[in-house]
Amino acid sequence: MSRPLLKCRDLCVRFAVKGGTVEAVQDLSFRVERGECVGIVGESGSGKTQGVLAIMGLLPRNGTATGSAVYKGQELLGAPRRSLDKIRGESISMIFQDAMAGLTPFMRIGDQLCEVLVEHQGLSRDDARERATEVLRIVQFPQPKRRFNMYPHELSGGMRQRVMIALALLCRPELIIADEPTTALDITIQAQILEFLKGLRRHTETSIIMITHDLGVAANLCDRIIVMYAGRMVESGSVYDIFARPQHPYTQALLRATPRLDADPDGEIPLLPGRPPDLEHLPVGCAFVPRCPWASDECGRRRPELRRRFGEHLAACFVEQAP
Amino acid sequence: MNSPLPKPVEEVPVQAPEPIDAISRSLWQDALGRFVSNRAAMISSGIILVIIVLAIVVPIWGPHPLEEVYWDRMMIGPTLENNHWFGTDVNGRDMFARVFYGARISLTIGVLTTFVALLIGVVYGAVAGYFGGRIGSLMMRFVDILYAVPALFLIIILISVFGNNFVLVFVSIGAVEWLTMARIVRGQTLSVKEKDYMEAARALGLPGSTIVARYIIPNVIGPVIVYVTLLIPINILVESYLSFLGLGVQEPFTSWGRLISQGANEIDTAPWLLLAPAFFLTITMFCFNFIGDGLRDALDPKDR
Amino acid sequence: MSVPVLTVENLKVHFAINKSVGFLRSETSSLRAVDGVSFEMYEGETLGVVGESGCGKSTLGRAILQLVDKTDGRIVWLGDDLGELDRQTMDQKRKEIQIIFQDPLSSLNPRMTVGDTIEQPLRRFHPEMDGTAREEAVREMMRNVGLDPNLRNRYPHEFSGGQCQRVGIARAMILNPKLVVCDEPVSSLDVSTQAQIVALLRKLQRDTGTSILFISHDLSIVRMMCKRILVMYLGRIVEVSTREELFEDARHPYTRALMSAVPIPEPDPERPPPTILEGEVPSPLDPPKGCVFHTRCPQATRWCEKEVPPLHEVSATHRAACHYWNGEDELAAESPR
Repeated sequence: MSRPLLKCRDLCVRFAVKGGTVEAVQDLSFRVERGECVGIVGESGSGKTQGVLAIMGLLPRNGTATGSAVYKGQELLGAPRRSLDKIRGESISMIFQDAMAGLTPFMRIGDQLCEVLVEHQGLSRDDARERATEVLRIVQFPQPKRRFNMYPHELSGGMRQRVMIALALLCRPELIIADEPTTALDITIQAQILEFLKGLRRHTETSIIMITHDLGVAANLCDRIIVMYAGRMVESGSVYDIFARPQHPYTQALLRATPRLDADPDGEIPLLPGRPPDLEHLPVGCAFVPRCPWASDECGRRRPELRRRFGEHLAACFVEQAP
Repeated sequence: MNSPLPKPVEEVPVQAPEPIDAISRSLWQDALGRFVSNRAAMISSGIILVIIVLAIVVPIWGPHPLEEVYWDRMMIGPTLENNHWFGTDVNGRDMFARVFYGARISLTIGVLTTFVALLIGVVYGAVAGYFGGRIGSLMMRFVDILYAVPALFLIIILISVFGNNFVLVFVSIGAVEWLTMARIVRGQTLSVKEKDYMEAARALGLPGSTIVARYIIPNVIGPVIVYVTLLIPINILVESYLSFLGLGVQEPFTSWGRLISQGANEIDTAPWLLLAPAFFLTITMFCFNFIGDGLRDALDPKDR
Repeated sequence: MSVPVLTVENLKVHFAINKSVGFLRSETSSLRAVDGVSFEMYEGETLGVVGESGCGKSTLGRAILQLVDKTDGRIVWLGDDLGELDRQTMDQKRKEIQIIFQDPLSSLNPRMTVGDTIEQPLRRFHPEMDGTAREEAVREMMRNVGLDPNLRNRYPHEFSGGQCQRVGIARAMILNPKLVVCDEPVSSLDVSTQAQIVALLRKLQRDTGTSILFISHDLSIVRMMCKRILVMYLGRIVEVSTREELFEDARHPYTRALMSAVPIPEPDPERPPPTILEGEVPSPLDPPKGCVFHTRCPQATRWCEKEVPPLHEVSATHRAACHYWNGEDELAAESPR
């Protein structure tokens, strides 16, 4: 078996807040192989974004990360700023949810794109301009030559997101980390961008980590899915297995609660009662207990570890489901 | 251990009460908590409190009455003998009493002028912000024009024209200082106007007075409070300038500014005359600034 | 058919935008947020308004509540033209029409307790109620929306998004309004919370019989909530029909593209790719001539560029604004050269 592109082991992310520390991510371990698309699914408070920010070295000042994240043989956590910058520009790219946050508001988009190329690939300004225009065309950014000199705020949300994707693709990265890239966009624009990402995967060996709360997006794009709850991975498996035979009660409930166009509209809405977990006051034992229909005393006492259910499929729950 | 799938629950689940705080905390209480944990702000508050107490107490119960002239002890330096802790001035009056009497005047003027500025500024700014449109713009253009005139200059003119009796001094200062307050309040009102809860209030057809009283003012007042605490030391300083120039309060009143002015004349021979009031003025300024900083951090909605 | 409670006739809401062009000159352009919308609502019905950003659905909701001024058209509520009423009378009518906002936290006054927020409508419209009666009504309402009444004195920032939305719903429903406009009420909530709030709204609607105008960009949720649906694009209605007819037999290309774009939460590599619409939504400052959708429509023809299609009747309960509502070939003969 070839070496995975990214191997993350026992990643923990803590934030120092007033009154103590909050553990946003606990003991997260996963792999990303070349050419594969891994979806990290969870709701607010699941830690899905913080884990990835930690890997990229983008945590805010009050955040600390422990554990290991090895990318192509190189440890990313705690790596010196310079080598991280090099990897971030050339090999791993990140697409954020809010394109206005990812783009510099006072630089023209053309200049932002060229800057990356000049900086990381040593292109001349003219060559950079040409390549940037080409990449904009690839991401179906309308009329790239005309809009090259526009500022981010002059563009619509969909166009800004395409610029973000273009930025991410400039240096032909091997890994793209996309954090809810389409959540803020209209459905039809989202469909365009998802089709584009699917095309990208078909034609290149680019790996993608797709962070999303939208199970539809995950089903459409990903090969494997990791489900996170309250900072921990609670289930992981192939996209087919996760949807066809989910093992963890949270995954099951999430799937049931997700509205579908092909479900009975007047049927009872399967509810996931309760509220998302409060990371500052996590219970002893399994964090899902307050909302779990099968919670037993043992679930409240001990936290279940991730165990292999079948094949490569892992789940962290004491309750056995029929496979 | 195969459990059957539980029936989906259609009824509305009741939310469990918050497990953490047993006591509800309003945003003000939250802010108070943050302020209290700011050491610099708390120490500064303590110091100001001490100065206020001394300003009240010393001229009444201090070792020496304010106006008593000691013919045999003129211009003596600070000494424990006879309890002239800050020495005496050119006329033989006890400096300790005078400094704290000056504190009364300076602090009073600082607070009162700020109050005048607050009154005018808040009303003006709220009106300009609430009405918006052309009226609001015109009102703010007027403010912009006034801004261009040097404040001190205006104050000096006002005092020269209207005389410098005690009340007029602080009205003049306040009447010039309200400009920034108006800008702050107007800006805050504009941003509050855009909030969804304002639309909700309109959707309920609430009368304007309720909207202003319960929706606008409580949400606007945060930065105003911060600015007030920063304006007080500014106004104390302005009064000091005026007194230094001889335009401030007149005898029998005295203020830190006048004391400093008098002390400056004797700086070669009796430096303590300058040092004592200057020291207290400086400390007061610092403390108000720390308090203002503390308030700003406490009221910052970052945590929300 | 019963008498409609709400009739919207040719409603237009245009905003004047001033842009500076060059030195000391500015030009005014008109942002046509709502550009000729007509529909009716009946008692106790749930009507969905679906569309993407810029389609004008939010503006429509606000115009009905008289929170934005209309530029043209009529809004008739229970026989009264709302645009003709003076401020006082309109304010009185507000107890019959209420609104729930998209962002739960910012729709609540941060300086008022949630109990006071829910109580406010009672103070305003029922001065005959005394303090105890009001308090009891507030507690009852809180129970109805699934909130512990003992949390009455808490402040919004102490609650989660879902709980704040329950407060918003309580505030809107406490007066027992006849119409509640829900403006994207679950869009900013987690999936698990969305389901709870939708279930709550459905239950309240069934229990009180109030009419609901449900505005959302999420077709799957609208489908769960509403029996009839309007689809909007660039300020116009492009399709209106019952839920069943819409999902089984949508006639407008935009509706079909919208539905195919919704990702199904089930992996299926055999599934055909969604209909991809070319380009971006045109600006409401300068909507296209003819059919507003023709710039992105996969089936657009010259006819579409020239003539605005009226809402053709597909059935008694289904209309679509497309020249080719009945399939491409049949109307080829009718299209002008």
